[in-house]
Amino acid sequence: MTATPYERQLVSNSDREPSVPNSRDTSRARDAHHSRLAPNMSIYLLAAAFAVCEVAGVAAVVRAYQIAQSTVSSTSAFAWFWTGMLLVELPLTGLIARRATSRNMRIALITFYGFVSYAPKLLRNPASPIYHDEYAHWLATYEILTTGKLFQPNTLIPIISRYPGLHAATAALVHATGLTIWSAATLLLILFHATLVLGIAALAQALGFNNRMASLIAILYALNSSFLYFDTQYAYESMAITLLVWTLVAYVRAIRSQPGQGQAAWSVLTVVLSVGTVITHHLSALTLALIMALVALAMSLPWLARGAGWGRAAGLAWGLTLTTTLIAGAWFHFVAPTTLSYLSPYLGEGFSELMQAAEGSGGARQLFGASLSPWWEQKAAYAVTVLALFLAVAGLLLIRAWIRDGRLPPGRRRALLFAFAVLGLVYFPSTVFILSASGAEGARRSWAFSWIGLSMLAGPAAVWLIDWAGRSTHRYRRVGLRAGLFAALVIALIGGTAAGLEAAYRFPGPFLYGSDARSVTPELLATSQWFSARFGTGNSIVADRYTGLVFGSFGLQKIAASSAGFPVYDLYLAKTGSTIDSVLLDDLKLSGYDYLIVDARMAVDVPELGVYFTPNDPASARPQGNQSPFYGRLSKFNTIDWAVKVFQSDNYSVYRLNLPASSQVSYQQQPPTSPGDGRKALQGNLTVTP
Amino acid sequence: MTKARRVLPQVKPFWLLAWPVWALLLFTNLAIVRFLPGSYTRAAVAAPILMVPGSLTLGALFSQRHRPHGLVFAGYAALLSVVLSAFASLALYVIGVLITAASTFWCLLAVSAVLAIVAEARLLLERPGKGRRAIRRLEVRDSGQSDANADTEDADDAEDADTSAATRGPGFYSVIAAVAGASLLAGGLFVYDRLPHPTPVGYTWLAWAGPPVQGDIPIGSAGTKLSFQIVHHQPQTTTFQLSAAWLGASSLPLAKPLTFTVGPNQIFHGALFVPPLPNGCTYRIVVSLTAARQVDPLTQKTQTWSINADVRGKARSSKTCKG
Repeated sequence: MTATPYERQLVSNSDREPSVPNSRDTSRARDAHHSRLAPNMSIYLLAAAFAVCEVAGVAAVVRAYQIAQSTVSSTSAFAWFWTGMLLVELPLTGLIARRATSRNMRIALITFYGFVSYAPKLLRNPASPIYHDEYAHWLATYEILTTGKLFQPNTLIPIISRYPGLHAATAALVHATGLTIWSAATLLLILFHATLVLGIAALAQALGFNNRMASLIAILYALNSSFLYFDTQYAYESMAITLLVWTLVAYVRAIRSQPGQGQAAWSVLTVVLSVGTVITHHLSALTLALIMALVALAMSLPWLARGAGWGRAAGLAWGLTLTTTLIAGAWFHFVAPTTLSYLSPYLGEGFSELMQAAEGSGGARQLFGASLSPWWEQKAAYAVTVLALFLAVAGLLLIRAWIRDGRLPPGRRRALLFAFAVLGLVYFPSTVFILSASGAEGARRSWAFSWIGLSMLAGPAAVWLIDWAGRSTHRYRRVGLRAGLFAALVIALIGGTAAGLEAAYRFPGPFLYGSDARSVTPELLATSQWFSARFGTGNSIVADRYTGLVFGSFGLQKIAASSAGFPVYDLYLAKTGSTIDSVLLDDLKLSGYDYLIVDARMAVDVPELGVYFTPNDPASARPQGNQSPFYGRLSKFNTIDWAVKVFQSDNYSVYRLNLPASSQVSYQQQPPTSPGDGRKALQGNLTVTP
Repeated sequence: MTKARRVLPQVKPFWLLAWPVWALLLFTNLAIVRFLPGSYTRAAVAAPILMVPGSLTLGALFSQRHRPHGLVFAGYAALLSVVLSAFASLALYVIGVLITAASTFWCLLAVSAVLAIVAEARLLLERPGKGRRAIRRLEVRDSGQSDANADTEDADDAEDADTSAATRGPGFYSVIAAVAGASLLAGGLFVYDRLPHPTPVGYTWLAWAGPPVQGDIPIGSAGTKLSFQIVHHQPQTTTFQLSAAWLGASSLPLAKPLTFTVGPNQIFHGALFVPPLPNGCTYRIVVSLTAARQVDPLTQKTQTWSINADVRGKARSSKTCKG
């Protein structure tokens, strides 16, 4: 029960664990006995109420998903979902914030939250991948299991084949347990999710916060837009974000340790985990190196870090940062040389779009443009930034007060706290990028990282507010203030999640054209199965984004990656009777594309995500208002010389391409006539049997 | 319970004395676990075993005094085990060995053995009165300088003690919390799975069957039979009309249309007999299936499915063959 000196400084006396009375005489002992019984009873009641809330919460989420299954977007599904999530989170946060809760119980509650907060994603797709990236990662793992080799090409997201950390770990678990890929992946994801919450609490403790504050910081971090859905999907970031957090825990511990007192061990642990991050995810590796550099820089500033042995600590911080950067650089250079070209357009184009919008030469992205979310979710998403700003400012003021009254003297803790505060403040400028089409995705992804710092900044402010509300002598005012804080938590939870993935990703529902998570139908799966059974796997195929996901993953086919240099959308865009660019047809032949798949809905439906092929589609291949650019242009494949239709279902047609078109002998426009009667076409015969 | 309380103190010294060795022995059991049928039960048995490489890494890196405890230990052990399994795959790839269940196991076993030796050596050297470091520490202790006094800012030991206090005694709270959380997830999933779900939307398809042919299909002197398949995955019975035609400037019928009824989830096999062609020209034929009372939601017309093929007579292509 030893508290750190820093904890002692930050924690008021009233925050200590309640002590057991040490009675001397019998009557006092009897009183103590009675006083112990009463709290015991209340604890049991509290535990029972908590259990009921948690079970009811998960049941409400189940109910929400059941409602959502049969409606495109239902307000009642959202209402049930948030009722469930609030039933799960509010009592838990209340118990953690309660001073009388023991530290063991807080750790248990955080552990519990790590598991239960995985429920929304687990229920969303318990049996198979449904998010866009999940298909690609599933395929990467499948390739390791079937070929026994890493770095197998991945046509859905080529870059992921160079980052095999998650796939290799899943394959190892499949080997050890005999589970399916998806079951093994789910177990790993639950582990990563639960340890992410614990990791944030461990990081907060490593930064010197007490158990109560650290636990609340973990809860605050869980309000970020990626926590419930994005970082729970089967994708490399879900593993890497957890590794990043635990690397930072080891890094901070290494900086704070003395030589010979575990410093070397923490340093080695930092390097081992940073290598794990590097081989798993590019963006996390880059961010880790940047955060470590930020910390090392803070450790080098005398105003912040000057203290006993600070030069040595700064040297260690820079050494570990340099080691991580070199490892990441070596990996990018030798193993994944396409990483920077993959990442740079997001930032560059995002910035350029923002500049254009500021100059008035381009329009800003419309937020929640085609969103299925109810209005109150959308409003809450805006409110989150305001709440976060309020808490961040309050956190900065608290830090200033600690510095002024000497509770945070220059030293390693001040430097560390400063570095994480700066990391948290990065969140606010990054929100501007949400207005740019190219930068929005990058901005959203950065929040999972910047919220690590933001939660460290907001946590002390939140605890101060809770304590301030509790100190109020007027009962109604106290209740009102606490209710206000809970309302802020509710808004932050709803808004934080709404600011992340859109509703079609979060909720199940009927088919929704052009939505990655709701595009897979039994018909598409059957089409893919038929194709693989008839033509085998490994065929090169031209298909739209949503069809390609299933053909490229479960179907094990190679899907054409549409780009400006290889504009396969031009095949679909060509008008009936017009000539298709011969260069494109030659490219298709040279690259061995033998099959074309057409989803008839492309001609009439506007995709929910706004793209038919890739986010880089040109304007000509994007929806024109509410009209598809492919309207009336898909039936040409039925009559074109070099395409033969071998399959048709309600929506999908499969064409075999007989390229090159130039050498293709045209079919006769006049049917063969019968030898006896020159005016009558030759007659065959049709039979059909069950 | 009482028996367990009596036995535990007797077993504990044996465990503490050589836990890396016991952990390594536990890991070797993974080979036996692999004979269990693949299931969540096998996963539950294998999970603690799979934590061994990570635990041994911590044992090899840290002295007993500075090693993280409780949940921090568990978190690191789990994540290090995951990372080591990925490193094992990388190592196997680099040395050109296929990544299989056996190769991964042997690789992890080799790594675990090395880590266990280091951890055990560290453990033995750190025993009171043993080893260079222990002597040095004793000297420090004798001088009366506590770790906290050595650096007032350093709080790791205190925090470790804090964490260990939280987990050594009532650490079972966290275990219970993890079990409760996992049970709630499993319960939610169980209930969700058993609730009524909307019936998946059905579909019908028409496709060529038989061996795939590249290019034109040659039609023999006696004609050729082209087979196809109709799959009807719908809950209701539907009446279809099947027809075949020559495609061209004006489509002309190739065969007499057929009308037939297909029940729910039925598969029909069809065949189109193409008569011998008079020349070596290429002709396109189309087989169409029309559902009499089914409306295409996209076109609002009668739903139709079609497949086509290019056929050619065996005679040499002549100049009269024109598009």
